[in-house]
Amino acid sequence: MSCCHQEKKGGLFKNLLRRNRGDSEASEKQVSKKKMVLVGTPNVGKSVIFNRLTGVYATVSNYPGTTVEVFRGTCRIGEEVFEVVDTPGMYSFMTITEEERVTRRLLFSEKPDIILHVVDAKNLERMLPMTLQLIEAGLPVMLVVNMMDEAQQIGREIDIAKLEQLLGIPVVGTAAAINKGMDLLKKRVVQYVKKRAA
Amino acid sequence: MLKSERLEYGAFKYDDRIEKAIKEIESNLKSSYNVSKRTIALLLLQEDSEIQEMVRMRESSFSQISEIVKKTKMLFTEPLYYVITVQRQKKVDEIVSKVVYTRRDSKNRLSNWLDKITVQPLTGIPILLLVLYFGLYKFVGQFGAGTLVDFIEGNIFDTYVNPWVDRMVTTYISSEPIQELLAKEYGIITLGLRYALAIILPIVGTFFLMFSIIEDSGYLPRLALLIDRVFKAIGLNGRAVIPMVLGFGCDTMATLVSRTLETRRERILATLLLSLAIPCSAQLGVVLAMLSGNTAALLIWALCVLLVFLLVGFLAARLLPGERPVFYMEVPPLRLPRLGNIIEKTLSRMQWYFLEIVPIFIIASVLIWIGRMTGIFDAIIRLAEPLMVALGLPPETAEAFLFGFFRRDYGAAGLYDMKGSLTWTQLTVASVTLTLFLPCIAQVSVMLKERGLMTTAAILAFIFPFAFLVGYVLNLILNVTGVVW
Amino acid sequence: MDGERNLAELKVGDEAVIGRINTTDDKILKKLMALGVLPGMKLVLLQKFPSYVIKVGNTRIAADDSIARSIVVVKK
Ligand SMILES: Nc1nc2c(ncn2[C@@H]2O[C@H](COP(=O)(O)OP(=O)(O)OP(=O)(O)O)[C@@H](O)[C@H]2O)c(=O)[nH]1
Ligand SMILES: [Mg+2]
Repeated sequence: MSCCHQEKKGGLFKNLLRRNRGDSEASEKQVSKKKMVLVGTPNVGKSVIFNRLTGVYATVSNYPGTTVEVFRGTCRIGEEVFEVVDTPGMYSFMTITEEERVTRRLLFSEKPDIILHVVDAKNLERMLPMTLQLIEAGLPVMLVVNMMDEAQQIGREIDIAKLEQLLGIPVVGTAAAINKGMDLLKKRVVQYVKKRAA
Repeated sequence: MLKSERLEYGAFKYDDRIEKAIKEIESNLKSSYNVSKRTIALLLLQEDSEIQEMVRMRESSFSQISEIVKKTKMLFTEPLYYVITVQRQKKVDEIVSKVVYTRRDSKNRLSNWLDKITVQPLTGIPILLLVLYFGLYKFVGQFGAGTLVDFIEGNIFDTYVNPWVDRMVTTYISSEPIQELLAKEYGIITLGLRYALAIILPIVGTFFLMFSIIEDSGYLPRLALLIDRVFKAIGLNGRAVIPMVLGFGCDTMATLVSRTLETRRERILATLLLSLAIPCSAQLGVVLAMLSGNTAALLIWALCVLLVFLLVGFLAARLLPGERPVFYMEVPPLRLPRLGNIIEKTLSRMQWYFLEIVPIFIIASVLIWIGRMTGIFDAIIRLAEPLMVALGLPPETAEAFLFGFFRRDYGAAGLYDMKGSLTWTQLTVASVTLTLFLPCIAQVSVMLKERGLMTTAAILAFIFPFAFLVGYVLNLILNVTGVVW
Repeated sequence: MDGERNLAELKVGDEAVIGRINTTDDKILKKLMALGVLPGMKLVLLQKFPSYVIKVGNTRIAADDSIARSIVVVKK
């Protein structure tokens, strides 16, 4: 459940409280903001990652279709300031429901500096097709293999380095709900954006 | 150059017939797109209507492109998106086989067992009833709407805040109308803020807390598959369980979430049912608190609303043309809710709710004050009195209904205020009518945004007389059958 | 191998390989494919009533009768 009024007010309120953390309006204007878009299948943890990155609360629930609207926040990593966009989950590029169309339109109309494709480590085989589609589209995509903790519980190991090599894009493993891998994620994001700018 | 761009044309190829078609379409795409032409070509081959529309607007050679698509389709017996998806999956399987190792197929017994008992009717329905009884009735109804409301309203407002405000106002403000605006019976502080803080907030807070736990556990998709067959009868599918259950929290949020339903028909049906027969948490809590002293009254109320829900859904589904809904849904694993998320979600929803209702409560107080000063308020109440009498209610109840125009929960709170002077029959009839009665202003604005003016107007035009009709009939039945308390 | 059958003809607990999707409804086909219900994948039927529940890979999918009948499988 996500409601525009709800989150935006919440975000504003928190931003006011957290001015000193550096994500206030004033410092946003000095540096040109980079755009980071989170996409992926429903219920893989996009909104958890969004919350961890921005400190703005976007609703997280354990069912597909929690986020139905695009949601924006700000995240600062070192020097770089990002506008982070959380999107409704989408099962494939061939969209069916309204909230999926919202996400595809966003991908096709805005120019993100980096797209984080968030996938569930337990269901890699089902989710990689979209990664291939994003690569195919020529979009600046980085793969986030989330829920590594749950994959481990069912006895699944994933060779992240090998995956990175096979896909030819940066890949990071995370367990966002328990805050694992988030630092590495941020580091790789900055590396990627710097390299792209160069 | 960029790695990703290198992969774009290199790493992954479809079979020759598809690649050839892609090349041909690409050469016909002259304008620039935000995504690669290869992607546009692939989506055109898969006949994606939105992309077709976009390309038709932009390319003069759209008819040539259509020709290419048609020619390519002839080469395969299966639809092209099927062919393309299968080929892509093959590539993915190849990658996965190189990077994924499965050590053992460990099984978590407890979660498997829990999983089973929630989705099988024999155990699932009792579990649902337990959740409703403890979560909704005990926690929200008795603790939130009972204990907490009694404490905040009785011990804080009635004992300290209201007398203090009244005293301050009479001491420092000489103008009687202004005194009444701020304090006394209908004042912004003594009525508006009291409703918001003392009655609505504890109820909404306990509801959102309970609801967050249910949401995070992964129970809702299981409820959806359990109840799909019932929802099919009212033109919806199990997927609609999520917006419907959300409606018990806040119908405004739920109307927005009904986007996740696939057909326009389902979205309209869901919007109708949400605005008619799903009481929001504040309203629900007030009704639970009001009627909890009398189990029969509570049951009659619940049964009435449930019957209206099913009956109106059933009839509307027959009347509205459109395809039969189908149900499929991914069922996520049951997860142990994380405390941090539950607290943050509950607080953020309470904050949102509060920011939304307080201005409305204040505006309502002001409007009522204007109405009273000018005599319009009394005139409207007098107009509404025959309606109240027809429902077997005392004329003063018109006030609660007038409040209900601003927000449903405001109306319910108004009723709660006068419960001492009403009989059980009157309370039951009034609760049912107010539950069905018009959606609040915020919900109407979301309905307008999501469903459009015509649909919204039609829904409201139906609800208003219908709510009174149900109240009227219920009152008759209760009187005729002699169930009068 | 004993020929094709649809999900409704399997018993709870049966394992099978998805053969094809037999439906005239485009949307159903697309959605099932997006959910990863594709030919060649193994599935386990977990439940038939009140809704069908299948497991494909590590994903559980609930579906109604009409969808279940459109999933044609080859039993192992
Ligand atoms: N165990 C575990 N659970 C996670 C992890 N990341 C997310 N979750 C849980 O997965 C569920 C879904 O998370 P969300 O962030 O709401 O997913 P989403 O991708 O935003 O989903 P939609 O908004 O529906 O598209 C929640 O119950 C999270 O607590 C993780 O790394 N490990
Ligand atoms: Mg989300």
